[in-house]
Amino acid sequence: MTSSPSNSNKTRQSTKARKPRAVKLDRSSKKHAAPTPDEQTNAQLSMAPSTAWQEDQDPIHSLNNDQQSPDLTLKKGWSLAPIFWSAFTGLFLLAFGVWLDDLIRTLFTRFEWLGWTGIALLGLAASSLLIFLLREGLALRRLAKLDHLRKQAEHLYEQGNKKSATRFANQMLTLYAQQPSLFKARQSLKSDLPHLFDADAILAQTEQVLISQIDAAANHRVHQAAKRVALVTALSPRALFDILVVLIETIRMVRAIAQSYGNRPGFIAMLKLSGHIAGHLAITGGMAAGETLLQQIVGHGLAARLSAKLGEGLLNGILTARIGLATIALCRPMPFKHAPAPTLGAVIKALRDQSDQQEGTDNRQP
Amino acid sequence: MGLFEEARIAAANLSDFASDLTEPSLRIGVTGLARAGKTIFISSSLHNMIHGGRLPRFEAHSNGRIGSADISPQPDSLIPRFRYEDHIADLTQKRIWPVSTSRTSQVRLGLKYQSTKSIKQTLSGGRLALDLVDYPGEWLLDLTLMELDYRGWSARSFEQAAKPNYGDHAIDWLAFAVSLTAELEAATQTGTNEEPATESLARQAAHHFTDYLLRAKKARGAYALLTPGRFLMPGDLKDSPALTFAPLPDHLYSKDRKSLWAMMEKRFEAYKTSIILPFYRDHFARLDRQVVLIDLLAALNEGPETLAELEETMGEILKAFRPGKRFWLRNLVSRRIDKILFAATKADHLHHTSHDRLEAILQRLVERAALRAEAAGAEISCMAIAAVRATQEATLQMDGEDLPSLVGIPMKGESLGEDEFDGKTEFALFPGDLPKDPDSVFKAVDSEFEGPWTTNEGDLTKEVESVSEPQNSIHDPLCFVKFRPPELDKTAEGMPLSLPHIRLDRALDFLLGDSLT
Repeated sequence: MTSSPSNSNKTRQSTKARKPRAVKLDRSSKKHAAPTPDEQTNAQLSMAPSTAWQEDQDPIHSLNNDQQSPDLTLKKGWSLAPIFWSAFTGLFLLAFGVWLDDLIRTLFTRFEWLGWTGIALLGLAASSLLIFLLREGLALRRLAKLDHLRKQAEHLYEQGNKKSATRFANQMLTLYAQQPSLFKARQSLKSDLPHLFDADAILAQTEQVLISQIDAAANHRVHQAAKRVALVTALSPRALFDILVVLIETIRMVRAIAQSYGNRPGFIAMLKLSGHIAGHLAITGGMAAGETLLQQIVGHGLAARLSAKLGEGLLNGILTARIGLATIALCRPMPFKHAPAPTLGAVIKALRDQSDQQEGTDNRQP
Repeated sequence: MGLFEEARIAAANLSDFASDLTEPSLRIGVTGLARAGKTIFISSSLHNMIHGGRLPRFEAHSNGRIGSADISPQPDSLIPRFRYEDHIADLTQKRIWPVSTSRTSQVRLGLKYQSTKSIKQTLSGGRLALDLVDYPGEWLLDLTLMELDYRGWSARSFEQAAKPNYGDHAIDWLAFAVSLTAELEAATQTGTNEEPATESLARQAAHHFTDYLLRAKKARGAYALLTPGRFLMPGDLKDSPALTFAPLPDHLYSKDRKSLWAMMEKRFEAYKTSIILPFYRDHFARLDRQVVLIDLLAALNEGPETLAELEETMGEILKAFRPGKRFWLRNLVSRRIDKILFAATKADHLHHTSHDRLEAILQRLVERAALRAEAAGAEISCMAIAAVRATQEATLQMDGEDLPSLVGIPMKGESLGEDEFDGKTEFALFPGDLPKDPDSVFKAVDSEFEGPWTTNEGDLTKEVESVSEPQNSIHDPLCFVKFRPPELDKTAEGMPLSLPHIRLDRALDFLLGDSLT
């Protein structure tokens, strides 16, 4: 029960007056039961409380109201830097405007049609910029929403009831309503929801039926990217080429993962996500190192003894995989609770298998 | 229990172990007093597993790791087969609840599954035989006699008969017990203390005692600790010496081998060794898992005294089980129950918002038994379940209140307030609110027991006041009505879909999940 103390007091008082009672039903139409009309008490019946997700209240707002932890880093106090930068940007924008104005005028003085062409191009540029900004804004909102959904799920695991958990599950269903490959999973979840009665059962079902399928796809993507990076690093002749490939492959992987979890990132959202990933890696880095450093060193040592290039590839692959796993942890709208979290160990194993294979082919060739 | 019996149990376990090597089996004890829903629990579990029912939280089932589930040939050729098909036909076609069980029956479900662990996949061959046993709940009460001798049992029986709830039904028998003393004295004076005389006295005593038991059972439901249970359901043992005895007042105690007391004592012991022990040995000493079904709602309906009685009865019964961690070497000779599920059945008679409270009351009820089992290393879980869900949920708006209520067809003969139900019309029912604090249900008993001692003239008005106080929430009216089995949705081919239920999947996952990993 999530009601506050005052609220529960009220319900308690009202329960005192609640006597058991029965109302006769008239099932004249096939599906909808209604109380018989001659009943003196004007009773009304609503069957099967609508489980559809309604945006009647902002879940994010209501969720964060009471548990906003004081964020110390935000309280910076006064600083001159923002003033300087806003003033400077303002000046720059003004200069840009003047330059544009001059340009259009100059064009008009040359030929009139050239001026109109300039204006048309300007309009096109302005409108596309606007659309770009709009889309970025939406992408940022989606990113924020995933974050809040995860927090909400954690909250529901602790103290949720059937109603709120069902609402959350329906939110998940709408979030993934566009993905055709999840059609069957969505159908089965939808049909099971009315038969589950506990918040954690509903959430677990959602996670196992719906989210774990996305997990599998995302995990596969991580494996793919790690393997590709390892292969390219091992084969490429120049270090610069490595860096380029790793960068591009990583970005593509992050995009793909974010997309499969229902967050199509734009440019700014991508930057923000990268920031999150970096932060996540910095936080979890210690733990991950504790867990897998030994493997990494052993792996590297072994591989490096055989071939320095192969070992390098292995390390790059592991790094890419770590970024991928961090992205999964950040983009997943529910915490890992009933489905197994993808592990770095599995990726490393896959990479080792691959490098062993390569080694075998390398050895055979000469 | 004698060493000989222990040895027999060990031998049975050893042979079970040997047969487990070829086909692993799991014996699940479905325990419960009469009318707790044992038969329905077994039927619904079987039906849902066999027909691929909707069990989303039963992991092995919903992940499709169970390839097939079929009823296998009966392993014990002397125990009747559980009449699964009849019970399902009753439920789905006639829409009535199966009749009360009058004898033991057993069913074996053969499961083919694939384990998630590669070691287990190669070792166990992916088969599991599930044995479920159904038996009359009355017999269960007898387990409480195993530790008692005749004198102790007599004392307990008289003590119980003296309670206010039983006094009315016991008058006849108690009067006979008093007259018995005089008759015995007369018999000793005239020196006719012979076998025929005591035999007829014993028969009369047993007759009066059985009469009392039947009447008390009828009035008090299945919660009362009325022993011996076989008196209530004698079957073909009727009138045999083992069923012809009665408790005697303590002052008749004598060590004379020819006395009535000695005869009764002998028969009591015969009852224990020839009726209770085989039942215990064949069913309870070989269990791996245990479901304890409790019809808590009916007890709540009756009031706090019944609830207290239920608590006592369950506590006594659960003492007979052997909880403990599973350990293969010890399992060779002595099986331990490593998981116990306490389930409050018929949760469909309540709106889901009250399920938590029902679970809290259940937890409070089995607290002591659960602690003991946990200390022994067994795993415990409490759930509110409904093996077959007979109602749908709805919100009833009435007099400006939103009442979380249930829609279904109440059974014929049930009533709520002025409403009488005919078993055909659909009703929306609000059964009342369960108290938030589980202790309040139990506390009320103490306060009521104190009642007679402190009654003054002024106290009457006080009592009336205390009823209206919010703390005394037990006086909130509660009325749980029995519903008819649900109408099932049919598939396009006209086959009925799986039986709807509440948390049966979680119960099965708790009981079977780790054996099917």
